[in-house]
Amino acid sequence: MSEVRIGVFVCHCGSNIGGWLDVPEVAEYARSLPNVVFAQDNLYTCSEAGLSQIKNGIKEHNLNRVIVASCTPRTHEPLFKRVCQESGLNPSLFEFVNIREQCSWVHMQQREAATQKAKDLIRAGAAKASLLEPQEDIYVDVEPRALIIGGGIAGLTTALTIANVGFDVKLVEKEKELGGLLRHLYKLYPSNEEAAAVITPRIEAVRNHPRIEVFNDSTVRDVRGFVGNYDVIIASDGKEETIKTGVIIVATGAEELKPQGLYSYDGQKVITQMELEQLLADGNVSATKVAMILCAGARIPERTYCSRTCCMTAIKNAVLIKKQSPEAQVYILYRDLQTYGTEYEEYLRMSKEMGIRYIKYSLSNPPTVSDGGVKVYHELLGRELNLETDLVVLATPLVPHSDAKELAKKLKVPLEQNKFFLEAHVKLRPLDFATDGIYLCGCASWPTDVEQTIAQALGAASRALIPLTKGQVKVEPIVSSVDQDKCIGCGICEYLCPYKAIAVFPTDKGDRASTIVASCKGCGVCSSHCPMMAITMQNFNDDQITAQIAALAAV
Amino acid sequence: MDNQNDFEPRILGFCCNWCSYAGADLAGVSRMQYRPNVRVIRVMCSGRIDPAFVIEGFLRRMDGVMVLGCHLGDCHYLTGNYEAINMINEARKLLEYSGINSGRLLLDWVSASEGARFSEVVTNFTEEIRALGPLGAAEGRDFSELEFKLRAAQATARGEKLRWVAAKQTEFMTEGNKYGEVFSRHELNRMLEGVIADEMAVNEILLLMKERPLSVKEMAAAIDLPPPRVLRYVSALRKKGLVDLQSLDGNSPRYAIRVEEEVQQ
Ligand code: SF4
Ligand code: SF4
Repeated sequence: MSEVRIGVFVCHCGSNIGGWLDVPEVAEYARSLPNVVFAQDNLYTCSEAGLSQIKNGIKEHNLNRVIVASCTPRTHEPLFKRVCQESGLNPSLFEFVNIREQCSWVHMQQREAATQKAKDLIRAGAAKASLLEPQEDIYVDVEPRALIIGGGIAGLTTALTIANVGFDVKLVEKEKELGGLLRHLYKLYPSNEEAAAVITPRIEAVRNHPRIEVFNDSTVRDVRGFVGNYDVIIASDGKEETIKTGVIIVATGAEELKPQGLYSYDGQKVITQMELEQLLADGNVSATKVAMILCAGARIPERTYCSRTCCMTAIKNAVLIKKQSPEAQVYILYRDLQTYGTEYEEYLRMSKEMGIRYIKYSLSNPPTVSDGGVKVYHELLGRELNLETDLVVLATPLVPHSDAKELAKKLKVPLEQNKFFLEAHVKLRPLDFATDGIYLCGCASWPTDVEQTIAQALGAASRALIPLTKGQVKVEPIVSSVDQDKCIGCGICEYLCPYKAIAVFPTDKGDRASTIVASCKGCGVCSSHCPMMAITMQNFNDDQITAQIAALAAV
Repeated sequence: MDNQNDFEPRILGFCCNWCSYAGADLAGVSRMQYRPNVRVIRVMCSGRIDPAFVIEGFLRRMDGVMVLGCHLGDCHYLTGNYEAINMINEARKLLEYSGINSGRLLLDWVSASEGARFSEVVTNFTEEIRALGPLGAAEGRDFSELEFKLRAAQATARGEKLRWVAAKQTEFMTEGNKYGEVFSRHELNRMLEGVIADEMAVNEILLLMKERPLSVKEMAAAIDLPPPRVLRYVSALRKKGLVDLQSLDGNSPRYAIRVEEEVQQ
């Protein structure tokens, strides 16, 4: 190959990098590295201005390798690769160096060390870039079908959205009936419309949609494959069925925490908000002295998160009780109130005008519930109150289903610390998983209310529709390839490959392995195990990794 | 470094794209502060790590090598991290045979949601390596001495014999060998150790002979092995046509590596 000409673009990321290490010095250093013919620092390399600086650099300096030293490849690599492609440079000739998550953000008090580390990482990046080779793009066909796990409001909405575009949808619901949590709710805040009025028409529409097939009482047994070509094994009624699908949407929702052992919970006199919804729906609330305790089992050391939906649910149910019997006394015992947005603020104000009383308590001094009353230390008044009650309602958080972990394993997607599903990026890719072709929405990822859930479901459906409507997806050309002169046909690679993506075939030289490119996911297990070192991983080959090691070690 | 406390270890890290590298990203997003000693190379899977990479790191005078993958059962590629266990197990044995404290090699698991754990693992490992001191310090050896061993280890790691046994570990432990014998981890370790002992010796002998022709006695002294054993290896190498009798040192023959042209014909 002709002379290697590397251009290095070092990003300040505003002050995210520039504030904590010396970016101009790093760029200066990059310029001194072998094969680097151009280096520049940019305020934001990913901005329009930054991207056109890359394009100009490629043109003016005749670059045939590009390195961006900025944030993480896990979010920004596709963007920079696209820019290379637009400038006529094969995207495989792009190399990413992470000096934000690996340097500036984690060594904030050590400017010199962070600067040095950034230089070292760029040196390794340049060593690898020098050895990069152009790769052909690989395209695979997309099975024109979506599989949605979960038949609540999120799953129903995605199913209808995708089916209405004209794709087949398979909807898997573990319970007998569709509808999820909304089936157990009475009225929704802030409009006070009946939950049934929202969910029932959607269930009907899904049931009657010619393109949607519903699997009730069914669970996901196993998942194999990759974007465009997933095989999902569904178990229903002891029978198993394999569904081929291009995309998968996780819309499994969450469930209300049952507060066993909390505040004398008994399901009779001390109940949860969801149980109250049922009573309200049945017209069975006769209590006239009601105390609601918010954050029951939430925002405590074992469960630190705010469930976000429970404050408004409690206020709404308090309002419903008050409307039904205006003489009722309703107290809301809270730690903080999560009533964001003008509509919810307004609702809160209205509830106060109706005479609902708000009492602030603290985590260190929580209320105590006894037969016929609640004792609470009023933080703002600074004294203890004895409230007489005939009903105590606990606002407990939404928690992930206990089977989320198992499903995550089958899908090979991560959970976050509270065991909700973890999106690819909290800000940039909130509805995607890091794995291509799998999406998430609704309470599976975090407690969301109906409005947010629907917004997310529409979003996830749109994300999933991208590969479906394109009909083809580009997969990373990180695949194995076999040097058939070195291969002895031992079959070790075939045995170890988790995807059966490499196999031994008879050739005129004898038995030799070769890669089934569309199935190879690029893990590199075959490569590290081949006794003859006959397998090369494109973009992660032995020479490149060895060059990185050598460059990192050089002082 | 004159003072142990001034010693800043140089540590090479390998992180898999899906879990540990993502965990490192999360540590960054959460601004968790940790020691700046580790330089990370991103790979797709911890199972990609060839023991030769680990040896290369130490040959380049890294004081520690850290391989982080997904938790067992969570591998993005199903079983890649189980293969990483086998590979790192092999690398650890090679280090031990090279006289290097195998505490300098870490294999651990960090998920995408464990930013705090990532920073903890890095911090703890950095402190462990700091306590061991620069490569050679804990070993009580000079780097030049270690370097010789490491070069032999590198050749062993890249050699067909050890790679074959190492790659067969999973199969031998689950389905057994071609006679259907299933091996325990303990038995496999013995097998690996046997191959490593032989191959290390052979590669050390080859390295020595690259310098100059040597007698069996001289070689045995240099690599601290009984002469009969060295003679056995040398005879095997002669049979393979890799080594020639070159001259006589009094009564004892000296051997040398056969030169390229002759091997090629
Ligand atoms: S492991 Fe290597 S030598 Fe064996 S069949 Fe696969 S490519 Fe060929
Ligand atoms: S890189 Fe991984 S997926 Fe691809 S052929 Fe090798 S073992 Fe299989």
